[in-house]
Amino acid sequence: MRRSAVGVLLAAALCAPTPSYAHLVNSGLGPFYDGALHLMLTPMDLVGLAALSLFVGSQGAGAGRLLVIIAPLAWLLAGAVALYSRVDASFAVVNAGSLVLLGGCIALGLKTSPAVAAVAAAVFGGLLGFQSGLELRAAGADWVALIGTVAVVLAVTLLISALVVSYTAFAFRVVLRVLGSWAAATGLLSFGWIMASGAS
Amino acid sequence: MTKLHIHRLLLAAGICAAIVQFPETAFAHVEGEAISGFFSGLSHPVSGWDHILAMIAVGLWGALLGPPALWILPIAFPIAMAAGGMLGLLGIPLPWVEIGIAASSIVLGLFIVTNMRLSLAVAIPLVMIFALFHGHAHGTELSPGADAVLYSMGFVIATGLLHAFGIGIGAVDGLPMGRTVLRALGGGVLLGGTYFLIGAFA
Amino acid sequence: MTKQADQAVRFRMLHRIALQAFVLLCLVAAGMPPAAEAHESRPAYLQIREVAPARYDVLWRTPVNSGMPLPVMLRLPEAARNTADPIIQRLNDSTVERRRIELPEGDLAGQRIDFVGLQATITDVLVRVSWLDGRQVTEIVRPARPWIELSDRQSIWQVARTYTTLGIEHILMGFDHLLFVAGLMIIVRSTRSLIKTITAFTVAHSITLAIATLGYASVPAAPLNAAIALSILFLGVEVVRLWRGQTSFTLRHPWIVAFAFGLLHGFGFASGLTTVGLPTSDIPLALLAFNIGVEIGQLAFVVVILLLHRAIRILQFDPPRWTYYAPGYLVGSLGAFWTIERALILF
Repeated sequence: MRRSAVGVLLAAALCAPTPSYAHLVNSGLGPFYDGALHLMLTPMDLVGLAALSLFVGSQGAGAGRLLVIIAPLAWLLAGAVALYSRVDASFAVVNAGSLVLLGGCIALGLKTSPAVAAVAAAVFGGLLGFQSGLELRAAGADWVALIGTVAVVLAVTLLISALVVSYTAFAFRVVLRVLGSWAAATGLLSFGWIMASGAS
Repeated sequence: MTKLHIHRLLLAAGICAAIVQFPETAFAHVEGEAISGFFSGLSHPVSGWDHILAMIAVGLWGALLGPPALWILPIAFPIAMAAGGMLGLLGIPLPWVEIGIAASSIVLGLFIVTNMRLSLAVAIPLVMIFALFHGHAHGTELSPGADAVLYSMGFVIATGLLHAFGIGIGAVDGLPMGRTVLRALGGGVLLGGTYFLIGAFA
Repeated sequence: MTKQADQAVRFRMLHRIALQAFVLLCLVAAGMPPAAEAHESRPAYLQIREVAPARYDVLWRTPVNSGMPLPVMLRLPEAARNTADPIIQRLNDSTVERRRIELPEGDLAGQRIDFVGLQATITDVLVRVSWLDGRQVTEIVRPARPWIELSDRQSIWQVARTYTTLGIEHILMGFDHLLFVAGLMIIVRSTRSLIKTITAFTVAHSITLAIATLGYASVPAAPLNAAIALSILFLGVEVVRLWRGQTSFTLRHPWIVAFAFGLLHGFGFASGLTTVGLPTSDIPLALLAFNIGVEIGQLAFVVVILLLHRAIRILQFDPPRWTYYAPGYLVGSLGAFWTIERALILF
């Protein structure tokens, strides 16, 4: 009974039209930069990507390398699928869930093997990329914009994971875990928020 | 804790307080619903003294307990608070919210006054339960509509900054007479909580 | 022990596969700039000048991109009447339409001008209106909001912002300039040298940008573009020298070369500014703002490249040997390609 209620809520949230902009924000520099700018101005995608980079980056340089390679590829593939699909839904609620998971892992200071980190990079990179692709399609963008987005994904994963790898001081680890807790909290609240507005 | 550290902490706490205090006026001319969502999220946790007191008290108590509680409590609190907020948003009821909020200030104030040293295994769940109540109260007040993520981010950041503010005040612990000042502040929290508890029943 | 070794081997394999995929992605990304350059976004320009009370001269210049005129229609306020037939002039790279209108109601301020069809393009329109009593307005209209509501007051701040934006856009779309900067970054070998080199480049192109914009000197576009391409090719050669462990004047004093070629690139920036059609009165401010915009874009490029480079080192990427050479080859081969392409236009 209760489970079905959750299911209905979830379905309602998924069917809610993409809340993103009808147009891409115009950078004035053509579709490549428009796509890049779109990611920078979409908080959910950006925060999710940052959380992913923080988590995988905190597993060390090896995991960071895998992240920088795998996440943009997964983003590109999933984004392309979404861009040329006919799915009329928003996966923002899925992204909120991923944020809770990733933020929780960071807050707990979890350590994993590089293989698990790689899988995380592929799965969450793919989920984020799929949603991003849906947003791009809703905005009428083409694959050039997707490439622009992926370029930013590459840069962000590279910069954030390098940042985490290079600072090993205890105080920084604490800051990292606090940030993770904030990310998870943001995910939880957004989840409730999206569900509530999807159901109403 | 050296003097230098105390100065830095106080400075940080001051900056945090300043950021929380006047976000909307400073950015009033920034256009767009999204940005305003962030700032209304930022200002929500500081909209009521019952919330402010409790969150600063968490920081104060953490400072008294010292590491690792100093940083574990501020990690645990936002997650539980957001979970409470989610329940509130979804309309799932939680009993005794108003009383729980007032009680959180009273209990935390009492702990600070008496310099109560609980083990982490007790302190963390306790603080998380308080956080749940606070979050739920906020959650039921929210009206979905603005940008979910930005609002949530602002909300969580404000909460975290309030903890930081409490920890910053807690840095006076290193000064002579500092411990006494801290415990006196705890007394203030206790009084405030009592006032809100009476309000909850009235 | 064996389990650990086993894991290390598996990890390395995973790593190698991932790296190959990464290189593939980089290649795709590297292929982007020329494609993006193909639809270069030169702005259109609308100038309205009050020549007698309630009578205005209108100049509407639209770029022609690879033979295609801009599919945008200018819609003036309804009250406006043509006093003579419009004169249309077709130039090499743009179409210029002149007409004279009168507004019986009087003032143009508060009226709206639409650019029908602009939303389907990636072209900006620079709008400039001046009145007899000295009031003037300069503003950029973007495809996302293809109209302008004229207000008769415009602050210095607005002019500065408009032209700063233009400067940033110009440098970020000018891949030849960015590639030259990238080439400089490859051949310098210390932070000190980098700062000196970039500063020299900046000073030099600021000088010629000012000279050219103020009309003291001009360089025809075709040979200029070929020369700019040649400067990139030149850097490619120096990069190869660096690889071979040789040295040269350029490698020892990169800032002098940066300064010399910077003078050339400044003329290039100036052409970007003059095709826009510069205002007649606030030239110094517009020039300064445009220059600042160019520097902002250039610095952002340098900072991002440095950060990314540092991040790659921190993550201890152990890329195959050829990726070390790739940026140099990119500079050299694109420089060579553009040099040939642009030199052929000369004949």
